[in-house]
Amino acid sequence: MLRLTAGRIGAPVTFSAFSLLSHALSGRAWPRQWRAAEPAEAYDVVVVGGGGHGLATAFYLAKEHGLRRVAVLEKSWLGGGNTGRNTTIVRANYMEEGNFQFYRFSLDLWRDLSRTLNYNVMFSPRGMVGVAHSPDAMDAYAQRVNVMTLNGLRAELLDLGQMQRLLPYLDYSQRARFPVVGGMIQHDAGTARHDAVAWGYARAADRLGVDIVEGCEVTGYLWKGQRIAGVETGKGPVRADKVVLAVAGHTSLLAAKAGLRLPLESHLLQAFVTEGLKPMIDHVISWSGGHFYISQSDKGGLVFGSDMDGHASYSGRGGIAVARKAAAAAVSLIPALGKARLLRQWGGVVDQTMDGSPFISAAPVPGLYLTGGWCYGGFKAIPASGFCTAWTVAKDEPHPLSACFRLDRFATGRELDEEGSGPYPHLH
Amino acid sequence: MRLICPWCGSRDSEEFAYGGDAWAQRPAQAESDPEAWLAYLYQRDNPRGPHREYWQHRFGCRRWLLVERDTRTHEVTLVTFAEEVGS
Amino acid sequence: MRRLPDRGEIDRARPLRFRFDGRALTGYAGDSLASALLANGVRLVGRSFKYHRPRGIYAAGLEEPNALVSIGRGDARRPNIQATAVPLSEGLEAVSQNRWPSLHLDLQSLTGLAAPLTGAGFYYKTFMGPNARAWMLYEHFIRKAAGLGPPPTGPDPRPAETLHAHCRVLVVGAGLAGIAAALEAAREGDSVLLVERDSLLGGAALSTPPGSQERAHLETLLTALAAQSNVQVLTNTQVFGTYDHGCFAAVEEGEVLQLWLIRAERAVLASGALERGFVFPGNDRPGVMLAGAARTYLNRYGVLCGERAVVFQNNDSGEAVALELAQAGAAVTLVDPRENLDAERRKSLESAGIILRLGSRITAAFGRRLRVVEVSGARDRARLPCDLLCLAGGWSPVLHLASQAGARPRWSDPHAAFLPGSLPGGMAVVGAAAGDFRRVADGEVVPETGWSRPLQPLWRSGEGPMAFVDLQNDVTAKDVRQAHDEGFVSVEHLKRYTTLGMGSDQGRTSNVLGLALMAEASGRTIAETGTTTFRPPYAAVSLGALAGAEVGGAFHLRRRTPLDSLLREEGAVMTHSGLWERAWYFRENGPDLESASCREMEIVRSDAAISDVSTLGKFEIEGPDAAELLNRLYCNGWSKLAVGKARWGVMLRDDGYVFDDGTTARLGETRYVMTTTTAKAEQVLSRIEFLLQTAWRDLRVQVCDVTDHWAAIALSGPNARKVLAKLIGAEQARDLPFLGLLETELAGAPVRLIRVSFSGELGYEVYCPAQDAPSVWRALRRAGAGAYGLEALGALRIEKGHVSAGELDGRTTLDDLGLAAMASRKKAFVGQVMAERPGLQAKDRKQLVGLTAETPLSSGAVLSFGPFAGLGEGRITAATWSPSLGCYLALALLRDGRAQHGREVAVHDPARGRLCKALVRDPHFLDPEGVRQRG
Repeated sequence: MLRLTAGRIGAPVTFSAFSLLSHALSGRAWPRQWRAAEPAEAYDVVVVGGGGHGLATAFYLAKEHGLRRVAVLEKSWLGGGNTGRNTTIVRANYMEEGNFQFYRFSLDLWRDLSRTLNYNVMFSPRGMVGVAHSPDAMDAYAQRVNVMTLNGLRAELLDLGQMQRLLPYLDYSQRARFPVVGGMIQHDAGTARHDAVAWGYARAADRLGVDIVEGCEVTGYLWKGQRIAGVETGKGPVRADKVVLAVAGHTSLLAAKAGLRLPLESHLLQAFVTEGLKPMIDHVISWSGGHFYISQSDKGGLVFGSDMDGHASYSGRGGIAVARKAAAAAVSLIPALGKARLLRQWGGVVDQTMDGSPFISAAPVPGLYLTGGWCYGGFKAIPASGFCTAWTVAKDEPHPLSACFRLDRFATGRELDEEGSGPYPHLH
Repeated sequence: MRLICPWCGSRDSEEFAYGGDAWAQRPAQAESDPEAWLAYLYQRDNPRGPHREYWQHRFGCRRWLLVERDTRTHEVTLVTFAEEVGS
Repeated sequence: MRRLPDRGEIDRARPLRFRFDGRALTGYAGDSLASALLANGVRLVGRSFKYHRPRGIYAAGLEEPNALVSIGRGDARRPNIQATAVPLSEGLEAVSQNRWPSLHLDLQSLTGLAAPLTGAGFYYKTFMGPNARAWMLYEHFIRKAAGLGPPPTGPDPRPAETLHAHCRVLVVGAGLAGIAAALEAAREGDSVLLVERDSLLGGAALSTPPGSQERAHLETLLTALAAQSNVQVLTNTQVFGTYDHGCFAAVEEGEVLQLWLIRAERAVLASGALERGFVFPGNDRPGVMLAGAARTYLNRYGVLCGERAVVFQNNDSGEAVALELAQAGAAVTLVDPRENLDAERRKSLESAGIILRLGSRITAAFGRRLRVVEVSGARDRARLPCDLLCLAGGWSPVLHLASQAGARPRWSDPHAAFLPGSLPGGMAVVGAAAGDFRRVADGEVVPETGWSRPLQPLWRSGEGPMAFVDLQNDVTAKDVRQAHDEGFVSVEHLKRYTTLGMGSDQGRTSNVLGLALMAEASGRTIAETGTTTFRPPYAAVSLGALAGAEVGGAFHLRRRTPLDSLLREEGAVMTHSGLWERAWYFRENGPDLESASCREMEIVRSDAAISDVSTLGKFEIEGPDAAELLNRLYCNGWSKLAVGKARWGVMLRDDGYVFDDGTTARLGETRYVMTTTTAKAEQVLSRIEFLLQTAWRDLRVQVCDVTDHWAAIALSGPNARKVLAKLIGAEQARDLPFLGLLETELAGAPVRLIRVSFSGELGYEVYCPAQDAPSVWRALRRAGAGAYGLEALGALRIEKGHVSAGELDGRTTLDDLGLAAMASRKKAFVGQVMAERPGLQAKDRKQLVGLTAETPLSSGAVLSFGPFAGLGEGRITAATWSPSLGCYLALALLRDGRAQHGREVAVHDPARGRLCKALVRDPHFLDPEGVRQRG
């Protein structure tokens, strides 16, 4: 009983225009969005990592599978990992069978996520435009458009004239190093407010009784014979029937404590934002020729990114080379951006797998499960990752949509290598 | 980042190409056990701390280098020609 | 507000005309835009982000949160520029932002009325219905309201350059501490780079009045500095980033954008400290200003910012400001929450006519432009009319560059500030940045802070609405409180939930205040509440400066073959292939791509033509173990290849998928030349180098990249031999067998001829030294060969069923491509073991097939036998019209494709509005027995 009430100030409030108005008129303080819980002695499931994937997993464990004794243990503050460090793009344009179906499902969950969570995550399917600079790139886009269209997603191939009308600010001149020849648009893709995804899942999970514990580092495991039976934490031991790792960037470290070596290498991915500007870029734009993508946040900042730094790293500090590369691509694609000013650059440590695709799987150690290896694209996967991981944990069998994300797929030769880059994590 | 190439001296890391984990031991060419190849190609310690890795001075002397670097701080403690390291 | 006749570093002999919102104004050389606006009596310069509150100039440097303007017109216009950071120039045009219809009448300021509804994070709580797409509608309006300046248009007319500097010691900031540090290092013989953001050296000393001790000291230092030849000084240059291994980045954004990349062995950060204000209702009114800023405007620019000034301090640094304002003729009241003041100082302040209100604080400010402030003491409360309120709330050392390097700041109660914590090796912090505030606050010295009286911590001096913590993002004390109530108590949550410190001023004046208010709300100390970590850049830097000159046409290097200019002269239309520029088709063969490439295919199939294939990777391999190297790399065998013969080879990656293919010829006993595809040349070379320098050190062999040294020309067609015969003699031409190699002379150039064919016709590849390529090409043309480009080359290979980039996509196996028979069983080769994994041998894999159809087929179309599901049964990887066969052809990867020969497959291409049927068949459409190429 104590567990359910600890730390709560005031009763839970359903968010709506009405509740906003009533708080404004009464001047009443808002309650905490989630309780500041302390860990109980034992849970059915402990999720390690309070980012989007971990919180979503906990939420779906409670909502879809009725588990009430669930805790999320976060070393620092919620959403402080890659959930709060990405460029917020949501898309479903993968071309390996397993990936395509999974991200498509994730997109379905995104559409209704704000209402599912009673938290506005500001999912904005504003359309993602790919810029092509060669006939080969157009053909690759054609394949994507074909597959999406035939699967009920809205996408179009765009000729040069359509591109010029849609994105008049690109450099269409023949002076460009790679003159634009056309492009594609995925209408259902867009952006979401990254922090709100963590907070929304946290609040919704909390309301279903999930304990969310911040400042609680997991330092090891409790064992019952060969089986993991809980975790050691900075706040003492916490017993659990099942332990889920959702610690992007640091999966190898926690797996190592269970004696596992995984097909992962941690890398640094940087992102960049400019000062706020009035609306300029209405879509998400991706330009594979320049290894560049950009969108404009609702606050007006232009959020963009480029390649990874390219070497194994657990440091949040990146080099200036990627910033220069990204800036050069920005100015080359959209010349006016030469006068936009970079306000912040930051880095996130991502789990790069050996084929560029993730894992949602029971680990070879009984009692341990993991969702990881999200590479540089985990944000858009959050809803489906949470959903499928919860399923895998609750039912002890893979969800059909994530069955392909097995840990043993390298041994069996069932890689999901979108880029065809081979077993080199830094090249995906 | 800067790397001190034993041949070319201290140069910006952009001149170099990262070549991955150097702890993983490549099996002998005649090795036919898939487990050995799987371990070499896919299994990684991925440490947070000292890391032994390959880099090539691609826009310099093109030599492959063995580098010891801390993945938390990027501090480089050793750069040597890959050839000079016993396998 | 007025310009004083006798003060300031401005050059009154050089008046400068400028415009603000269209109004013609005048300032002087040496002014900043902000000082010139103030001198002209302009108080209102902008509107705030969220509530569109009228805002004035708050600071004198990069910490300015309010005075953001657009500078310039047309393509030269740059938004969001701090008026305090722009030197005034003749003809400068500045326009205020974020207001409609005008700065003085901004209708969006009505949003302020809804402030009770629109506190921190309100948007997370609403705008969720009535349906899933509702947010898109709300967002449309929210986006328009957000953002600051209008987006820029067109390219920046200013040139950009990237400069590199190496030094022993980098000193950031040329205030007194920085100059002293530079001198010290220089005297030890180190090469020193001293970088200063301002146009003048001197830092805070420049804000002191004429004849001050600081100015005298500055003169001495500058004289000494001028005598040092080993100090390079960069002014107007902002160091904005610290990177690993002693790398720093700095920028100067003047007539030319200059990005400096600095490598230093040691760095001394003398970046000074920034003042902060207090939180109380109305603390954002135009006329409220940091005390140090008022001092700068007075002494450096000769601008008195108010006639009736109130100085509100909780530390001693406001006193000098009060005195100097009074001396300049303002009526000054000094408000200080501290009661005690020694008699001597009291006397000096009072004798300057300053009214003292000790034990008091400012609790509110009023007026659209500041008219009156409310002063509250322990017992009394009064309203003071005034037109200037100077806030001296304490100083925050600028620790960003150290923090970027990973140094965690530590809180110091006596300083009421974060000081540098443990620093990384090779980095030192000096002066006010290190918490030594002596030169900031005059007078006697308390050892730790440099203040004679301790600062009284005071963050929020008055309660009520519209008490701003972050002026740029309109974050109020109430928002911080609400964030706390809702559980966003960690500093990062506070920032993200309220947007505190996320504006273009990087929260320079607001971070500590926000932290202090959160500490207050949660009953913790500031040290317990946390610190913020800083990320690059310290100050906003334009993307144009970061990008440098390598943009637009220079974005990536352009690789050109030795035949490039000749082919262009001959009318080749070029296309790009990776970084290469290649001849796409020749105008002599038709007016457009389609007709020309068809004609080129016909010439190759019926006569003879040449194509530039110099982009192929070419590596010379020499040594006793050269054959062993090839045996390991390629899946097929090389032991039996005779000298003077060539062979096609396929190599796998370690993981068993196909990596690359190409022809390798044996030049001598121990000498080979390998060719690779254009796309994979660099990867193959790097891989070979890796293996030879690590696992295969036992091999006695050298590999040398000769890609750029040798040009390559493909000669194809039934008449190819006749063409060749004219140049090398009929005998040599006749005697060269299929897959034979001949080293001879052609058009005076030494050439290697290899008889191979990509098109399926009788064909040769002519390799010659790069400088001879034009003469060889011309000779072949004169001997009767036509010319064909990349489009025809690609189409001819489809007819022949040769695999290329579309099929060698890193995901196909030998068997997928119908090449399983290539793999040798007699030796160990790269990828052999992993290729045996079940997934690579599975029956359901997609295999290479040919498709024929009566209607157009396109690469990217997808295939199905029944209703389309998922990714379908396969996809087209390459397609063309075949003039030879009179139908459309395609290569495709189709599930279990070889078992589907003879079936009809549906070709879906809704992207291009097409749906048709095609016949699945063997991919070798033309001459599958190879009669032509062997002929």
